[in-house]
Parts: sequence; structure tokens; C-alpha cells
Amino acid sequence: MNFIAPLLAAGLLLTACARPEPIRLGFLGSLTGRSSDLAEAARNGAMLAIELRNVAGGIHGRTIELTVRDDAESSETAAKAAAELSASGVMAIIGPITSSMVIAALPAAEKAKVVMVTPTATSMQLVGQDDYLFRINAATRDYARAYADFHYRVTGLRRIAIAMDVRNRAFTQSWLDEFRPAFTALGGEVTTLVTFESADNVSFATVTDDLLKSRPDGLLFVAGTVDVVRLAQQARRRSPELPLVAVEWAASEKLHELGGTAVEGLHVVESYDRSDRSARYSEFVAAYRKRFQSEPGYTSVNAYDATTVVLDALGRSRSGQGLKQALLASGPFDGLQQTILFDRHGDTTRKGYFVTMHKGRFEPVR
Amino acid sequence: MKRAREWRLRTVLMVLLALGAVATLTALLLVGGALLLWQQPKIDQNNVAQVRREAAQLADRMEILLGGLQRQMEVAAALLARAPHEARGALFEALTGAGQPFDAVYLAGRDGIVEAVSLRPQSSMHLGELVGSDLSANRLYRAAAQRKTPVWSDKFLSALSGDVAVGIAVPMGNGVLIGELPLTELLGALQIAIRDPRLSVWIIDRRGELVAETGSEGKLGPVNLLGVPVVQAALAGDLLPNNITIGGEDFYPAVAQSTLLDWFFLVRMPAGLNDPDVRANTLLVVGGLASSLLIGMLLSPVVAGWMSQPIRAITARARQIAAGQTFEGWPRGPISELNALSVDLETMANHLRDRQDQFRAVFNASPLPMAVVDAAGGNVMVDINEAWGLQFGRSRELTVGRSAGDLRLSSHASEFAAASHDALQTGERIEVWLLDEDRSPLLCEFAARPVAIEGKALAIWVIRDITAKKQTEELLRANNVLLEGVTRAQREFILDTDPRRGFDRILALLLETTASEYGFIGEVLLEPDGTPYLKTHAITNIAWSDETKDWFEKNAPTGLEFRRLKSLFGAVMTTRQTVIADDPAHDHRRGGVPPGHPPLLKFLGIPFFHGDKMIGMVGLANRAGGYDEAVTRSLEPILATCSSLVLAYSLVRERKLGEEKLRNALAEKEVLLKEVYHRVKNNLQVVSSLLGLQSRRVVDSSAKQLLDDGANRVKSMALVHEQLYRVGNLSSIDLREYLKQLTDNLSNVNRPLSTRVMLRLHAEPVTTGVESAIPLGLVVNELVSNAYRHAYAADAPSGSIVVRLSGSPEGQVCLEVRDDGCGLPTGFALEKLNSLGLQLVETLAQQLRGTLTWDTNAEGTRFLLRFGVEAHPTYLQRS
Repeated sequence: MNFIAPLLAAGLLLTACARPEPIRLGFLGSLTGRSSDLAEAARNGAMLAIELRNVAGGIHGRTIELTVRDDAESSETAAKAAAELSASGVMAIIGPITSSMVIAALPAAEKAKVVMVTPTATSMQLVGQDDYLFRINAATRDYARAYADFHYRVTGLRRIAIAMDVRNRAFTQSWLDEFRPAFTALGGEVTTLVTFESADNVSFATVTDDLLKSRPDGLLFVAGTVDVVRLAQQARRRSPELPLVAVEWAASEKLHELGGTAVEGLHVVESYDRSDRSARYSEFVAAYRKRFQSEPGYTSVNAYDATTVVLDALGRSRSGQGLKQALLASGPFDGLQQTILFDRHGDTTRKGYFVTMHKGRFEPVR
Repeated sequence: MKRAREWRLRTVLMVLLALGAVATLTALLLVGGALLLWQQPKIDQNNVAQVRREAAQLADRMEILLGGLQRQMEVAAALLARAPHEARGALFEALTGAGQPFDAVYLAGRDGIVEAVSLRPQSSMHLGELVGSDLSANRLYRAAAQRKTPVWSDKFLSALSGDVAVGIAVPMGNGVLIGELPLTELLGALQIAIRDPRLSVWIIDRRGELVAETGSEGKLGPVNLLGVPVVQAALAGDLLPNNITIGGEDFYPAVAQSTLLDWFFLVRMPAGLNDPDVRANTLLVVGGLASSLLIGMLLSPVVAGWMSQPIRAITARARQIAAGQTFEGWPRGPISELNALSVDLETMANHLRDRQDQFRAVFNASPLPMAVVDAAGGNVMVDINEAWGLQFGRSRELTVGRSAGDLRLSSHASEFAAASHDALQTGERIEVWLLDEDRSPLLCEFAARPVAIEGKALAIWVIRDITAKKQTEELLRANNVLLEGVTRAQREFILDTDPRRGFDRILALLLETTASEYGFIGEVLLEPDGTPYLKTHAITNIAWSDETKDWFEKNAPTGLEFRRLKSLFGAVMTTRQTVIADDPAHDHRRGGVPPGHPPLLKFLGIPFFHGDKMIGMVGLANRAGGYDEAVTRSLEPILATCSSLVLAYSLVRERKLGEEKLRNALAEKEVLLKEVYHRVKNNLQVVSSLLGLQSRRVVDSSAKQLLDDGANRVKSMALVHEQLYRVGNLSSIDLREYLKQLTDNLSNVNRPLSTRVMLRLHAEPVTTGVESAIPLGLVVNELVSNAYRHAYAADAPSGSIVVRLSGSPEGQVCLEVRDDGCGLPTGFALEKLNSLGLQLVETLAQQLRGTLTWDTNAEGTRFLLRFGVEAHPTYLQRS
């Protein structure tokens, strides 16, 4: 038995010399399909946060590794991908991007007790729940009421016709349910609601015609980027001067590239201040441009914040403390532009900024 | 000292062989590993060169494949530019028709507005809605419009289809013709271009986005690859590393850039064990080595067994010798040392066997049963001698190897095990009950001594059967107990005032001797018509209720009477035979028991006789094993005693009856006698009264005197009879009481003189018969009367007459009558007197067989009468 001791010693030495196991995080988003622009920007934000943290030495000497999965805008795929990510040993999942995908993926993460931090989802269905979901964005109620107030008071809209995509109903219905009573309470009127399910076969001309029949003084698109572009193009052909408003979901950096002049003058809300000139934000933008050769969007900023929050919580967590407890207990966290502090349900607040597309760029509303 | 651990020879050989095999294979592995390390740089170099070659060729092939599509678009643009407006539609449709790779082809005019669109026939999009869309901001459109050359796009989100795709934009006049190629189409082309199946390819666009990928999905997923060092090195034109790690796996990398497409082709070939060929070869070698090792391991026991076989054969023989088995010959083999060992062991075994035979002869010669026992191993029989076999009726073969428990040496195995253990520890002899082959109990004297045989701690048991001796002692003791009990019962019967205690003791003895629960001893009596019935002299109190308890306590002391002949005890009385009932509940002679009566499970009734007369019976109940003739016989001495006691009891009873009758007759006689005395006294009283009346009528003083004297004499006799019937004792008189009444009477009669001459009595308590009392009373009457009459003058002022009576224990009575009067005349002599009184005194003294003396002077006279009475406590005693 004398040969066992040297073997054990050698084994311990090798273990001691081995590189520490990386901390693994997952990303889940719709990287193919009509919302892939938002998901790709979010993935880039998460990657940037991780790469910068790794350059800075990781967490307690451990590097961070990101595993990316595409939910293809399918509930089944989202649930399966979340289960696979959980089973692969990730500490947290950043994503998904849309509320419907969050609702589809959450049970698998919940079952595996893996924290899921969605950078963007706002549906009221996800608010106030004691689960493993943490939300970086504000709630639909906040945005919808802000929209109602802004457009009633600032842009002066009184009669709004709404086109709503029911494919992401978890978000859109929630948004509508909050907006309509708020706008009506102010004295506004929703002249009509036209729903459609985002797909190739939708006739956006028909949808637009239906909207215009109610003779509104503005159109509100509760839909994603591609569908808003298609709706805007149809609307501009029929009523070039009619004010167009889109929900925050459509506030993609690709909006102009996809919509061209059709989206000129479109009002949206963004969850970050693109006019921010602070050093931290400027460094982020510069690093993003260099790394991805594109402009960061709101999903990039939110995903960067979501990832930073997770990494900070992991760094601050005490021995034996789960990530969920660490996220709840070790805040507040420094986001790029806002301080993030979760309530006991993993919800937080986030300030919105109204912008308008002007000459191919989003410009803040002064 | 710590003993070194032992191993079996075969095991040691097997381990050594196995270790040899492992060492050999380890050496092979080390050598192989060293060779591999030496060759590794060359292998790496070759693989890197190969993967770079493949990457360059792949880029070329993809350029060829996609370049064809580009040329197709260029030709189409040229045709469309020249075609009449009406012919454009058909041409457009042809671009997305069957077999074409494009999902959509559209023409954007100078201002970026879509002028014409062609979709796949199966597309469900509303074509008309797409025309007019503004693509002026579209990156691909702008690049082609600016460069005026065909441009391939990065991966992009199509505003028209909403899908992620790549596109080729070809300038067409002032506009741009754009074809959208689905990523699946690109992947198909890529798979065609790859020749080596080991290769995995990432096509990366200018922004680092993954356009297409072959091989299994990367662990990292669809990440942006611009940050991967190898891509950065390729972009910077730096030398690529020979080896990269992606997702924890090693690859040989190569990057080729397509100038046509402006994409990078990152080609990876698995390195080390990730390479399927390397993995297969490694598995083959490792499998081969493992198989060799396995075969070596499997063969090592066989070879070890073959090598150790001669030793094992010798060991087996030695073990057989140790176990006392016989066999023919010791093994011989090809190894001379082992043969010599075999011969030596054979010689040693023969010596051992001779000594063993000697010991066995001595062992078997012992008359006492002996056994060698493994006491620590559960009392397993190691050996027994012949005496043991005879004692317990089992042969040595049937005994050895089995435990005392298995052999059922004792009916109480655990107690016997504990007792034998104690005997072994203490060295003392003990008595134990063992069982022979027929399960008959044997009382044995048991001794155990520790012995060490062949290094093993064993015990020798020696036993001696003392059953017969013990039985004799027990019988003697039982008889002594019985005899003592019977003797005691008889003595108590004789001495005790209550003879029933003797019966109680006999009954207790019967219950104890027979181990019965309850029983009785009864006398058989006869009704006037001759019917027998039972009267108990002793019975167990089995009262089962308050009512029966009261009844028992009230009647048992005088004996309970049972008259029901239709019963088990009745059968004894009617048949005069012993009755044994093993199942009383179903016995035809049964009479049943009242509700609540303790269960009657067994019954024995035995009659006992005086001559031919049945005078009693004994009843016993509930002996555990029932009753039989042997029990009945054992009770014969007690039954004889019962018979004697019942007979004696009946005689005593008869004697007491006689005494009672006599007492009654005596009482009747006493009553009669009292009546007689009463009447005599009354008659004498009447006579005395008549004489007194007569005297009062007589004038003549002498006559009067005579009558008074007569009355006094009669009175004195009447007082005796009165005393007799009053005191209750009809045959004796208390003289002191009698004389007191008599002197009181005399004092009364002699008034008024007696008021001055005092008559005093000093009498001791003397008792005598009536035959002495009457004469004595007459003597006192005469002497006192004479003193009053003659010793004092009629007017004498004072005087004293004293009557004194005393008695001695010898029966002598002394009566003294003294006065202080004038004294007797000179020359006084009784015989000369003419006085009837004094003559009467003389006569009475003679009647009493006494002596009368007197003396007299001027100061008075004293008479002394001494007489004897029979020395009988009743007749003479001091109270």
C-alpha cells in the first residue's frame, strides 16, 4: 500500500495546479426570426459584460463562460433550451427577450432552481411573483401609463387606433390592458384595436386600412420591429402625416435600416438614455462598437446590466448563499446608467426615455 | 507481538502474476507514451498543414459555388435591364422558381424603393405590400449602390421576409438587384464543399457573426466570434496558433478568407483525442492493452492454481490427518523438495496416529462417560468414549460434530449450557438432568475440565449417573416427610383440644404429597335408614363468592355435610371403591359442580375402613398429571392415619356424649339433694319452732329448759342443712360460716345475758362433711348453752365466751370453747354428770372419733375437742 500515498499526493498537486473551473452563464434569446435584431443586440451586451469582466480577472480568479441558445421564437424550443442550459450547470440564464418566451422558459429554470434574469421582459404576468425570475426592465404598467400620459399631454393625441401582435400576447395584451384605461382616464380614446399574429402571411395593408377606418389622430403599434416597419410603410402610403407611435419593443437600432423613411417621426420609449455622455456609458458604447461593429440598442444596455448584476452578485455572495439570495440581498447594483435594486420578487424600476426617429436616428424628445 | 497477516499460496501467486502483467503493460504504456510524445510535434505539424490546406480549398470551393450564384444574379440584372418592362415579371419569377436557391429577389430603385419583388411560389407573403418598401437605409443596398459592384452581405434580418438571411446585391442601372439566400441554403453549399468529414467549419461574416456552421452545434452556441483570438489573429494577419481550445475541446485551426464573399472560413480539425482517427487508434491500443491485462488477470488464477497444486495436495493430506480421516498414500510430484516434505509429513503423521490410538484406548477404557467438547463453540462434541455412547445410546459417529443442543442432551438446553459453562469455570461438580436416547431423564453428576488439544481450548466432560441413588434418597425423604407429617398430625390430634387441627394437617399433607389443588377428609356416617352421607373433618376453602365464603366460615368448623350420592365422591361411598376421574366433566359418575365452583379437572376419591366398616374417605382434586394407582398406593400410610383419627374422633365424640349424660344426671341429683336438704332443714326448723312454742307454754323451768335445749339442738342441725343447700356444695360445710350462724343463734337465745356476756367466734376457714358438721354443731350448742347457763350468774355484769376453731393441713380440727365464768365444780367428771348436754358432748366427741379435754379454775373453763377428718382436699382445705 506504500504506493498509494505518492499517487494521492500527485493527484492533489495536479488538482491544485489545474485551472479553476470557469463560471458558466447561459443566454437565451430569439437569435433567428423577426425579433433576432433585439436578441442579437442583447447577446452582444451580455458577451461584452463577460469579456470585460474576464479581462478584469473574472470572479475570484475564475473566468466566466457564456453559452448561447436560440429559442427561435418558439415556446417549445425556449422551454427545451432553458432545461438544457440548466442541466449544463449554468449559474444563471440571461434572457429571454420577449415576455412570451420568458413565460415559456421559466418553469424549466424554476424546476432546476436556476436564476433567470430577463433584460427586457415587462409583462405584468411576470411582476410580483416569488420565483427565480429577475427583471431588469420596468413593468409594462410603467411604460404604458407613461405612453398614455406623454401622448395625451405632449403630442396631443386624443384618438388612437391600435394594431396589436398577439404572437407575443403576454407582453402586448398586458401593455394594452395598462394603456387603454390610463389613456381613457386622461380623456383619450382608443378608436379601434386590430390584432394580428406576426407571420409572413399577415396583410399589413389590411391591418392598416382597418386602423384608419376609425379615423384616428394617431396610430399605435404594439408589435416588434419588423412588423412595426411593415405597418409604418403601409401607414405612410395611406396617411403620410399621421403620427405613428410604437411600443418600446420596436425600439431597435435596426429600425431605420429596416424601415427607411417610413419610420421617420415614429415615437418610441427606450429604457436607457442614448444621450448620456457619462464616461462609463461612453466607454461602454466605444467598447461595443469596437467589439461588434454596430451600435448598442436598449437590449444591449439592459443585457449588459443584467449580466453585470449577476456577476456582481456572484462576486458578493457569501459561502453557501444561492444566487437568488445574493441578488436579493447584496444589492443595489450599478447599472450602466441606473442603479438596480430588486424587491423581494426580483422586480426593479427603470426609467424610460421618449425618442423620435429623426433622419435615421433616434433623438430624445426635449 | 503482532502476527503477520497470512495469505494463501494461490492468492500470492495470483497477485504476483497479475502484478507482473500490470508491470509489463505499464512499461508498454510508458514506452508507447514516450514515443507518442516524441512524435507529437510532427503529428501536429502535419495536421496543421492539412487543415490549412483544407481551409484554403474550402474557401475556393465556396467561392466557386457562391460565385456561380453571383454570376447568375449578374446575368439576371443584365437581362432585366435590357428586357422590356412587361417581360420583367417572368424573368423575376424565374429567379425564385423551382430549383433556385433564393427565397426572395427584389429590385430597389435609385431611391431605394422596391420596384419589383419575386418570392418563392410557396411563400405566403403579400407580394404587393412589399413593392414600395423603402430600402434606402439597407446596408446591402447602399453598399452595392455605392460600389457599383456585386456585394455579398453579412448575416442580416430581412425587412421584407422577417427572416435572417444572407444576400447578394448586384447593381442594375441606377438600382440594385438583391437576392436573399436562406442560411439553410448556405449550409447546404458548405456541406457540399467540405471533403474531409473530420473538419468543422464556421463561416463568419465581417461582424464576427456566425453565418453557417457544420458539425455538431458548438458548445458555446451562436456567439459572436470576433472576440475569439484565432479570428482576431486571422483578421490581423498574424500567425495562427497550432492549437486552439473551444468549449474545452482542442482543435487544429485554420482560417481562410474569401475575397469574393468577404467572409472568413474558420476550419477546425479535432486535435488529440478529439480526432476520431486518433480516438479510434487510441481506443484500439488501449483496448488491446486492457484485453491483454484482462486475459493476464484471468489466467493468473489458473496458472497460480497449477503452480500451487502440489503444495495444496500436501496441505489437504495434512488437514485430513488433523481431522482424523484416513487415506492412502501421500502425494508425490516432480519437485524433489516437495516430495521430501511429503515423506517427512507422512512419518510424522504415523507417529501422531499411534499416540492418538493410545490415548483413545485409555479414553474408552474409562467406566465413566466422557466427552471432549468445544465449549467455546457451542458445546459441539469433538469426541466421546464408549461409556458415553452406551450411556446415551448414540454411537460416536452419530454424536461427534453435533452440539449438546442438537443431541438434545437436556430438555433445557440454555440452562444446561449455562450450568456446564459454570462447572467449567469453577471446577465444581454439579448435578444436572440429562436425557438418554429414549428421552428418559437421567440425573447425573457432572464435572468439566478445560483442556488444550492441538492448540484449541476444549473441555472434557465427565458424568456419573446418580438417578437410582437419587430416587432412593428421594423416596426415603418422602417417606420421612410422610411419617413426620402423620406423626405430627396424630400428636396434635391427641394433644390439641380441637381434634380438627389434626385433620387439617393431614389434609395439608395429602395436598402437598399429591400436588393437588384442593381436597377434603370426611367421615362417612349413616342416615337412620342406612344411607351413607359425608361429614367433613377437614376441607380446603374454595369459596368463590361472598355467599359461599359466609357459608363455609359458618359451617366448616363443625363439619360440612354432603348427601348427594350421584357424584364422584358419592360413588366412593356407594361403591366402597377408589374413584379416579381423569375427565370429571365427562365422567358418567359425575354430579356436576355449582356455578362459580373452581374447575374440577382431575379427581381422586379413596375410602378408608375400620375392619369392614367404611368410616371415611379422602377426596383430592386437580393434580397436574392426574391420579393413578401409584398415587393411591403412596397414600396408604396417610389413609391408615385418617382411619385411626376418624375412629378416635368418633370414640371421643361418644365418650363426650356419655359424660354429658352423666353431668346431666348429677345435676338432676344435686337439685334433688338440695330439695331434700331444704325440706330437712324446714322440718327441723318446724321441730325447733314447735319445741320453742312448747317451751313458752311450759311453766316448769326445768321442763322449759329441756324444751329449749331440744329446740336449740334441732336448730343447730337445721343450720347445717341450710348451709348445705345454700352454699351449693351439697357434700361439704364451711364450718366458719356455720359456726357464725350457730353462735349468732345462741347469742339470741341467751338474751339478755348474752348482752353482757359476749359470745365471740374465732374460726379458721375449715370445711368438712355433714357427718362431722352436725356433731360439731351440737357440741358447740351444748358447751355454749352450758356456759351461759352455769358459768355466770343471771345478773352477771359482764363476761366473755369464746369459740375458737382451727384446722391443720393434716386433717386435725381443734374446737375450743372457753368462758371466764365461775368454772366447773370441783371434782367435775363427765361420766358422773347427770347432764344430758355434757353427756351428749361426750357422745358426740366419740362419734367424731375425737378427744375431749377440759380444764377449769376460778377464772373460767376451757373445753378442747380435737378430732380428725379425712385428708381430702375437698374435705379439708384452707380457703
